Amino acid sequence: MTTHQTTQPRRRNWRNQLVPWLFMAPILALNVVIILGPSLASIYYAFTDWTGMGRARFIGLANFTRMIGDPVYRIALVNNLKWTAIFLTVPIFMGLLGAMLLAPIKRGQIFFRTAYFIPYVIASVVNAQIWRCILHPLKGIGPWLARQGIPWLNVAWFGRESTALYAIAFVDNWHWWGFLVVVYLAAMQAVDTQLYEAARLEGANRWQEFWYITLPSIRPTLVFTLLMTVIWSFLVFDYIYVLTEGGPAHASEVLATEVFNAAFGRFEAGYAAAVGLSMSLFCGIVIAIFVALRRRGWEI
Amino acid sequence: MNKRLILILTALLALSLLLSACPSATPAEEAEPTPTPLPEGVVKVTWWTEPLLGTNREALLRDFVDTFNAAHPDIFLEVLFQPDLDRVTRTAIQGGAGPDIVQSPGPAFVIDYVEAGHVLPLDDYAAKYGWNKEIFSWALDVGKVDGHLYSLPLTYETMVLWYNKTLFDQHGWTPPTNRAELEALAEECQDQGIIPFAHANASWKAANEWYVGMFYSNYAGADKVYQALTQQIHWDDPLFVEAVALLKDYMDRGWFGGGRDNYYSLTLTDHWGALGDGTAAMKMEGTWGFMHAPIYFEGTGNEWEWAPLPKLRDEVTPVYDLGIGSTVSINAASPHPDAAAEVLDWLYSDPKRAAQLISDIGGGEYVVPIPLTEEDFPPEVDPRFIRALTTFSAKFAEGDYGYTTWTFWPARTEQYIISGIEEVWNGSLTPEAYCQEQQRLFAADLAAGKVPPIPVRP
Repeated sequence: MTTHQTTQPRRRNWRNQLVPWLFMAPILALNVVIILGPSLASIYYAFTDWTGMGRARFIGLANFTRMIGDPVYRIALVNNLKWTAIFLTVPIFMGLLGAMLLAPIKRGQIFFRTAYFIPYVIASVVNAQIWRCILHPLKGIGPWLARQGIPWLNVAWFGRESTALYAIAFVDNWHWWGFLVVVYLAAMQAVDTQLYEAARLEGANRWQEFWYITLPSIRPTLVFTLLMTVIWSFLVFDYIYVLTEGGPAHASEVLATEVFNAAFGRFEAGYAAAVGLSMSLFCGIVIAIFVALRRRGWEI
Repeated sequence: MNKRLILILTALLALSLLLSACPSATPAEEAEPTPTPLPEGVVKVTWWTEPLLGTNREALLRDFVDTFNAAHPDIFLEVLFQPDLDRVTRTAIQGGAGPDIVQSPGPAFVIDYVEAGHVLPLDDYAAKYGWNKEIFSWALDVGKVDGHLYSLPLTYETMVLWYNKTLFDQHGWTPPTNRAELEALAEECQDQGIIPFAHANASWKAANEWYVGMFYSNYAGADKVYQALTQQIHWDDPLFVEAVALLKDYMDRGWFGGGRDNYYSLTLTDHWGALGDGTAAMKMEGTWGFMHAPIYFEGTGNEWEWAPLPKLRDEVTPVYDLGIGSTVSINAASPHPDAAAEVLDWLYSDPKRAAQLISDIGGGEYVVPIPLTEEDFPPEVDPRFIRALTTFSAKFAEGDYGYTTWTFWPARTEQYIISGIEEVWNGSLTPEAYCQEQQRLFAADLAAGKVPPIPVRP
C-alpha cells in the first residue's frame, strides 16, 4: 500500500513533466532544424573559404582577420552604430511623446491608434516604394516644393552619400514609431490611476507625472523596446536593401547588406558567415548586459 | 477588446495582406499546371527561369513550351518563373534538388556548379544533336570547363548607343563615332538643358559595370582587354587607369543621368522615360533595350534608334562587346537528363522557331546564338532589331568582339567593379587604386580557376 502510494505521485509527476515537452516537441524540432542547425553550420563555415557550393576548406581565423582589416566592414559597423543611436532616440522619444499625448484622449483614440499603426502593418518593400516615390528627385515632393519657392528640400535623398543612411532611417522610423506609440500607450493604461490622482493632489504637473509615475511604471516595457531596438538595429536589412542596396559607395552599407553581398554577390559564403557571426556577437553582448542587470535586481 | 477595435484590426490585417502581395518577392509561378498524374510513360522536365511579364510570358509559353510539349508526347516540360532565380537555384542545387535545366547568369557562374559536380557534361548531347553545326563556335567554347561543354548560352547581347532620333534630327545631330564627337555632343546637350546620357542605377546597381566594361573596350581596346583577361598584361595597366579616369570625368561633368545624386536615385522607368520624352539624348546600354525602347517611346511622338558605341581613343578599333545574358545546363541530379537535353535542343534546332520567340519577346531575351537571317523572322519584327542582330552576330562569328564584364569576369571581381567604381566616382578611391585592387582580385580568381574560357582574338 505504501509502495503504491509513493509510485502513483511519482508517475503523475513524471507525466506532468513529460506532457508539456510533448506539446513543445514539434516547435522544438522545427527550431532545431531551422535555427539551431543552420546556426551551428554558420559557425563552422565562418572558419572556411566556402563559396556557397561544393566543399568548404578550413582556413582558421582568416575570415576574421580579413574582417578586421576590411574597410567595408568598418563602414558597415559604424553605420549600424549610427542606426542604433538614431533608433534608440528618435522613435523612442516620438513613441513616448505620442503615447503621453494620446493617453488622456477618450474620444477618437482608436482613430489615432489605427492611423499610427497602419505603416507598421504595411510590408517594408511597399513602405519603401511609397517613400521612393514621395522623395523622387524629379517628380517627388522636393521638386514640387522647389517650384513653390522652397528649394532646400529638393535633394536626391537616397542618392546622396551624406543623406542616404539618414533618409532610409527616416523611412524606417515612419513605420516604426507608431508601433511604439501603441505599445507605450498600452503600458501607460495599465498604470494605477490613483498614483496620478495622488500626484495631482500634491501639485505635480504633467511633466512631473510623466517623469515620476509614468516612466518608472512602464520601465519594463521601455527597457524591452530599447533592448529589441539595439538587436534589430544590428539586423537591419530590408529598407536599406530595397532603397539603396547599401550604396552609394557603401554610404548606407550595414552588416546585413554586407553579409548578403558577400554570400550571394561575391560567393564568399564563409566570409559572410564570419560577418554574420560578428553580428550575433554584438547582439549577444547586449542580451548579456540585459540579463546581468536583471540579476543585479534591476526591474527591467 | 471592443468590436470596433476588432473590426479595425481585421481591416488593417486585410490591408497589410493586400499590400504585402504587391512586392516583387513573389513566389515562383507555374507556367502551366502539370497534369496529375502524368500519363504513363511521360517524364517531366522542369526549368526555372526568370520571371517574364505579360505578353513576353505568353510568348515563351506559346512559342516554346507549348510547341515542345506538342511535339514530344513522352516529355512534359514545366517552366517555373522564379524570382531571384540565381540565388534560389544555387540553394536548391546545393541541397541536391533544383530543376532539371539549370539556368545561370553567365558562364563564370557555371564554374562553381561544375566544380561541385552539380551539372552534367553536354559533349555527348552536342555530338548527338549536332550542336557544333547549329550553334556558333564561340558560344560552345565559352561553355567549356577543362575542355568539356557544360553550358550553352540562352541569350547573347552587346552594348550599343541608344538615342532619341527625333531629338537628334531636330538639332541636326548625328550619332558620335569618336571621343571628340561624343564630348562635343554631350556639352551641346548640357548647354541646352538636355541630359546627355540617360543613365541611372537605382533599379539595377550592376549597371555600373556596363560603363566600366564599355570604357575598357572603347578606350583601352578589346585587344588590351583580352590580354588582361588572359593576364598577359595587368588590370592596372595605364590604359585601363586612363579609361576609369575618363569615366569618372564624364560622371563629374554631370553627363550621366544629370549628376551623381540622380544617377543613384533614378529607376529604369525614369531613365528610359527620359530618353523617350527627349529629356535625355542618348544612353549606352545593352541590346536588351530592344524590349524597353518601344514601350518608353510609345505615345511620345519621338522615334528611337541605335548606333555602335563610339571609340574613345583614336588608336582603338570599335567592336561590339560579347555578352551572354544567361546560360542553360543540365542538373547532375536530374532523373531525366536525356529529356532535358531534348528541351535544350528545341531551343537551337529550328531558326524560324527561335526567331519567332525572339520576335514575340521583343528582341531582348532568348536571343539564342545560332545563325539567323532576316528571312527567319516574321514580317512584323522591327527592322532596327534585325539590323542590330545580323550586324553583331556576323561580327561575333568572325571573332571580332570585345568582352563584357558580366560574361567573362569572375563573380568576386565583377562585384568589385560594380561597387568600387562608386568609390572612384565619389573620389574616395583613385582610378589607380581601383585598377590595382581589380588586378589583385582577378589574379586570385584566375588562379582559383574561376575565369571562364576567354574567346581568342583573330
